[in-house]
Amino acid sequence: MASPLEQFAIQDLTAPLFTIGGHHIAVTNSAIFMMSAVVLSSGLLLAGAGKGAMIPGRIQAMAELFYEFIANMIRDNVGSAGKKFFPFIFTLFIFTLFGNILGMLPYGYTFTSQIAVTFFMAMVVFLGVTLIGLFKHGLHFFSLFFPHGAPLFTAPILIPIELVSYLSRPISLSVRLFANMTVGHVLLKVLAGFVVALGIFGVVPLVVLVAITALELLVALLQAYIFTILCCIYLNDALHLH
Amino acid sequence: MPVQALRISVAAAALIGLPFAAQAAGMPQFDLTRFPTQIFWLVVCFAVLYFLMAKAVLPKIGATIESREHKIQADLDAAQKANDAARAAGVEQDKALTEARGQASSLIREASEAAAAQTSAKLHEVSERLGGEIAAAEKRIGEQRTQTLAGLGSMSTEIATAVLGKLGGSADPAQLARAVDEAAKAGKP
Repeated sequence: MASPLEQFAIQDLTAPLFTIGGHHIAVTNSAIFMMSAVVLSSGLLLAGAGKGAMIPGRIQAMAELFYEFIANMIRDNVGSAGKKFFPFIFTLFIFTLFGNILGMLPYGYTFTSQIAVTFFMAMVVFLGVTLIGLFKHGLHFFSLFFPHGAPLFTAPILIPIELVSYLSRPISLSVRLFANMTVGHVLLKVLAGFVVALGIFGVVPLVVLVAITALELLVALLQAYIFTILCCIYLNDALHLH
Repeated sequence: MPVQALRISVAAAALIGLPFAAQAAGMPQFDLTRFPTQIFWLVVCFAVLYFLMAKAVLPKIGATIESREHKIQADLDAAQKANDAARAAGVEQDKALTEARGQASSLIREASEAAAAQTSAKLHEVSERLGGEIAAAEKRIGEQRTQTLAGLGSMSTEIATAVLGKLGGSADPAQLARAVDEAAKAGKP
């Protein structure tokens, strides 16, 4: 039986197209699913936005649901200052969501189970948010590392803790998504292996497999939501400090 | 918060060591040589999606939602206006109705007063006329009665004379009339 980790391997599907900084770039299985996520989500949302009917149809209602969902998330967590970042947060959510969901398809590939992808996204958010904070508040931004009203003598302990906590944000953000997706797919693969290996008694792990698939679908939705809302919270910290 | 921060820092410290362990265990995610390709496609795909969302999808959906909200607000305003107008018309109608009712009741009162006055005048006239007639009739009856009573005396005398004649007697007519008079007076209640 193949290792349950084999599904995460990045495979080149074409010859290298070009080279960037000594790295050959080819179309990979991961890239195909990223492109599929882009095509599917933008196709769906463009179709939903298309008519702009007063009484929405199904697809339009769904597109508007996504829109309102993220708009409310930003309004509740960031406030009116977050409006400028709405397209970015929305894209982040849709990209992560479709990546997670497409991974649930049989023979699918989950690009959000790649630490390279999640960490890069988290780093972009982290650096972007830090720069926004510095740009908006200047040196006052560093008051983020010392809770307002704490006794001054606690500073030597609190500041390093807050600093480490702040710096570990991109790690916790990216590992949360990557680990959830990876573990889920490993679990599905292992259970699927049992179904085949146990023959007729494979029905038992099959039932579990169906239940876990439902659970993983929930995790896929939930993790996209958590990733996005944490980005909103970080953005809020940068815009409004504590 | 600091407790959670501490927990996260410990997790972060553990994670720094993790890639090496995981790589040894054969997790393809930690194959650093495959990072550039993924990041390249991630940037390309994310940029395309961002462009599509920011330029095409979101403004359109936002405009649709906004125009719907405007339409709903306008409809609500129109409904409110219509409601106000209906309420005002109702108040107006109530006022007109009250007025008309007042007018009608005063008309009725006037008419009934006039009718009552007319009736009482007529009644008065009739009763006066009747009173006159009754008085005349009573007078006539009284006269007739007196006449009759006067006639009755002479008639009684004649009858008494005739009866005496039949019996073979006679009497002085003046004496007879006096006797009849006395009998009539005695017979009176």
